[in-house]
Amino acid sequence: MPFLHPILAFVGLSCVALPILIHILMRRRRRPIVWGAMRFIELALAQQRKRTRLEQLLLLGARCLAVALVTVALARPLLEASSASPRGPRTLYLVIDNGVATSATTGGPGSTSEFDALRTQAEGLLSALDAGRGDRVALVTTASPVETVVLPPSPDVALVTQLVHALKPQDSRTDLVSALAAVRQSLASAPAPGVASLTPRSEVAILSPWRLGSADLKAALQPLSSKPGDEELTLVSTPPVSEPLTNIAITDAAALRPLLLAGSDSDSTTPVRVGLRRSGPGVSQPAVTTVRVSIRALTSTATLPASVPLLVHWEPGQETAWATATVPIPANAGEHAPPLAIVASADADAIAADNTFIRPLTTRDQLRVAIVGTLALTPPRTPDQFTPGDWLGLALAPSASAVDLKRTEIAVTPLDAATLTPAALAGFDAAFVTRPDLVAPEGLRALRALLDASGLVVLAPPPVAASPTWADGFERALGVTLSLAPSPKELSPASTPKPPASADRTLLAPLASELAELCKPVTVSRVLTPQAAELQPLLLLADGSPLLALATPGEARGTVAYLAAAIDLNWTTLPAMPLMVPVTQELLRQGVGRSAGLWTQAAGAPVVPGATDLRPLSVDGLITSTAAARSGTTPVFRSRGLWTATDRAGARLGILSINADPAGSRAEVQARPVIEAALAPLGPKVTWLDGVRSAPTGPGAAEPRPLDNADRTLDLLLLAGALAMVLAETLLSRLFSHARPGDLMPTSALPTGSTPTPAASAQEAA
Amino acid sequence: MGFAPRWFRACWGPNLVSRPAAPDTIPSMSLPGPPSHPHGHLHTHPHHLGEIDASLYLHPQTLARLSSFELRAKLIIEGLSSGLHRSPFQGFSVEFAQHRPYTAGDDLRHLDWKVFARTDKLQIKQYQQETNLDLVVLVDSSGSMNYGSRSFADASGSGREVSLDGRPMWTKFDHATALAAALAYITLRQGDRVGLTIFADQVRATLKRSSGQSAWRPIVAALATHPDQTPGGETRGSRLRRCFDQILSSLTNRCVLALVSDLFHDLDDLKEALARVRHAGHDLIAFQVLDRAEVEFPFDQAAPFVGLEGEPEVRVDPRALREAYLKVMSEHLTQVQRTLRAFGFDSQTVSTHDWLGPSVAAFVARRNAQLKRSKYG
Repeated sequence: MPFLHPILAFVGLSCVALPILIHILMRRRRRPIVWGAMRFIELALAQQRKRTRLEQLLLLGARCLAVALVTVALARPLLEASSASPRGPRTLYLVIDNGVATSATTGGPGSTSEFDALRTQAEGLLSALDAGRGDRVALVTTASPVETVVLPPSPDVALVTQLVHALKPQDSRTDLVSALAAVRQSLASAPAPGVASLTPRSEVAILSPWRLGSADLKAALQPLSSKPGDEELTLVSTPPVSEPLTNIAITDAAALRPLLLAGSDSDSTTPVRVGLRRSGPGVSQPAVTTVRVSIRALTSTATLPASVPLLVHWEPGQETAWATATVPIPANAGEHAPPLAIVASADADAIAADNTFIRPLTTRDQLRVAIVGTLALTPPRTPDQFTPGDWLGLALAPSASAVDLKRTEIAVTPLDAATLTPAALAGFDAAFVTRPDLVAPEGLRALRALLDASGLVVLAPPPVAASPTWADGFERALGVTLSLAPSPKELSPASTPKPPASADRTLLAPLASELAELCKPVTVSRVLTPQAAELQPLLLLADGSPLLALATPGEARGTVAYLAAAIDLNWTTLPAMPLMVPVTQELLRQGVGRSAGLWTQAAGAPVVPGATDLRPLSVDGLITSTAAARSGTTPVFRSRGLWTATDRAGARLGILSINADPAGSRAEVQARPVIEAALAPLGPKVTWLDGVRSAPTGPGAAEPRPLDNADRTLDLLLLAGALAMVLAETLLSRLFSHARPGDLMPTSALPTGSTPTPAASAQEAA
Repeated sequence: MGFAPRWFRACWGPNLVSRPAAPDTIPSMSLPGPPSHPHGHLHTHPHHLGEIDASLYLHPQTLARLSSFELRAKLIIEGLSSGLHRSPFQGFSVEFAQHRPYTAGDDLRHLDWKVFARTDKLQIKQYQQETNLDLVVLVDSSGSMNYGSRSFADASGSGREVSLDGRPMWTKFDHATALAAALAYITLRQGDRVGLTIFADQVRATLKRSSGQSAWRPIVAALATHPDQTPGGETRGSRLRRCFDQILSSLTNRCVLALVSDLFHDLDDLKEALARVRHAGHDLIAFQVLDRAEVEFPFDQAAPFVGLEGEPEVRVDPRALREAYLKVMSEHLTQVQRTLRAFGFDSQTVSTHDWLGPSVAAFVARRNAQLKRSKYG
């Protein structure tokens, strides 16, 4: 039988045990009575045992029944006892899409977004719940990462209503699969149905505009319930929106060189490459989009530089586009100046969140490079006397002299590999290790510390014969996998390096156009080839093996590069060729800047490792950041913004920029049959919520109606029964107490003896 | 009634204060020293009997009340000397018994000349020889006799709060002690002999019959110092038939047995014991000592009941059990009385909450009246 207040019914029925507990507790409190006429008590007990037990059972039954009737009457039972009755308690799992696509507006600025409609729909569903009936509600938002706002379901409908009212669309993509997985897990962990009347019906309501960015319908969904054909589970959803919207999102905005050197006179401007993607019905039309790109300081008081307008011409059917603009760099850029960022803004459209892209720039006054090798006692006089450090010094700082070392962009410092310590390597941006075979464990720790500080470590095999076991120590210390060959391999004939096919997307992208030409005069005759598959090649040999490759450390933020040939003329002619200077220069600049690029992410993406403290950074007129949400100890970013990342000591590690996820802002509408087919694996057939209503229309989802006369009559009958049972208990307890005054048998009433006459004695004897 | 002292009201109750006994009739209740045991068969607690104050159990007023009564034998008693009671040995004493035909050799002084004148037949007059009475008081000391719900100070009348062994309650055994003392006093006053036997599962102690005027004091002392029965200690029930076999084997002449017990015995055991008494030709007076709580069962709270004779603890709701208990108790008491009547023995129910003097006096008076009616028609 369903109850209007099932919790009260459950608690009340539990109170039936109270008379039994009282009876048990009262048994222990009497002092024993020493008694002489025990044989008569035993005889009386033998006669009374059945009757006494019956009386006690009747009395106990009356008391328990009275308690049960009172509690059942207070719990307001409902006559419709069917488990499929819409009037039993319900559990509503509210799955609200608050991804970036739900922020789409059909009108101009200030008009209501599609999320507002979803929120209104959710509030309507919540208003149909009745906490007094035992209804419960769970709230799950689908913006990645999925947030289980209220899960498991709570009976506090009012609180959930407030939470729904406070929801806002986020800037991350919608992760419907994870949201439904959380609901499925909660459904599976729900208590097993015990009393039919207390088994709540579950209803999953998916509130989403069902635009392409809101639902990845290609992902396979799992059934919501482990029971096939579960009639207690219903699925409702808002219908897909039908209004076509065209949206243009900025997918990327990156400087060709993410590292700005303040001392470089030639870098007053930098090329910035901007990526865009458009979606919606406008894709089929030619269009022109204006993007304004600027590099500005991330302070509210900074003078805004002039933005560079960039016109992007869309061909019919074109969805993605890239354009490059030359953007001036503020004059006062430097390590001690306010941080800079590339800001790209597109024209306003349906979804405003993806119209701006911010990427912080890493600025350096000077790049400090350590060449870890052997220190020569006398400077070389002829090229055949050059050590790898000498070649690298020439390549990194060709015009440097001992006098104006501090004025150059790159400061090269030779360090002895055998005595390398963390203190000696502190403050450097990169380290070229030319004699890895000489590096001691202390030196390995120093290189790891450099990696942790977003540095660049370039490894090359030693030019002399050495055991390749040094690679094991480097792999363990730096957290990379190189899998070097056991011994150098002689290439005969000598091989000529070449750029990989995707050279324009590697660190050497600035050299992509001339890299092939520069590689031609270079020959490689001896290599120590890496065999790890996960390396990213920058230069390849003729046999396809990498000559220069990148390895990504597992936990550190820095970059590791490996050159398969020692920087020695006996191994390769690269040190003496023109390719040496641009390759080492770009490898250094891009490698150091690559770590800074990790601080720009899409909303919902995993956070950069190593960020220990994140403080919001708001810039007037640009962006307002809020404190990051946290899932346990891990910060979670669902909305765009800027955060200053610092370490435990308070030192600034970088500027974290979170932009809207362009993958979630696709605005194409989807048809109902497509959605129904995608939701079919969930189990129950979806029922569409056409229009804003206060209750769904699907089976078993009727609006709870008020108590009718039959229910009230039942309540009165139960109350009357409870009253009668209380009276019966009173009468029975009075009756069974045997406390009637006339029962006393005074001593005077006992036989007082006699003096029998002979006749009487004879009669008695007979 | 305000002039009556407290001990007087305590002993006789408020209805009898209008006829107090004369002070000079009150015998001294203090024991001058250790009582003599002429027969040497007292097996009791080695308590110094001289320290026993007999007034703990029998107040002088009770003795004064009973001093004017005579306890007569209902059956024929075989006495050793002439006394108040009929003897089976017919002789030529005071009381006529019957005629028998004259035979040669008979003493002519006993010839009934009046009968010869009327019937012309020679008839010799025979007389009922009167003898003295031997009263043996049999006191039950089984565990159930140790129950009492009346305070010792209220029942004793001596002002003492507790018994000699520190009990605050007046038990049925205490009441039996007082009753035995009263019976002994009556018997000794009329010149008869009195003895004592204390029994439970077997005979525990015996005092040989004596006719000394202070012979009742050893009886009180023996009973007052008899070992108590406690629930935690050794328990003993009462085996009436076995005890009576032992008692009767020690009696060589016909006696009056005064059985003082609660008679919570099995009826078959009681019948067999009474049959043995009857067969041996003894007279028996049964005094059934009961506590008011045992016949009213006034408890109203559920509690565990612990037996005094080793019965296991039983949890009882007295209100629910009371009706059945009173029924069982009433039936038992009725059966006991019926059994005693069937054997022709007198009985008297004595409540520990009632004063002893009036009930014993009424019983003796009623018994004597009954004897007189049966004798003279």
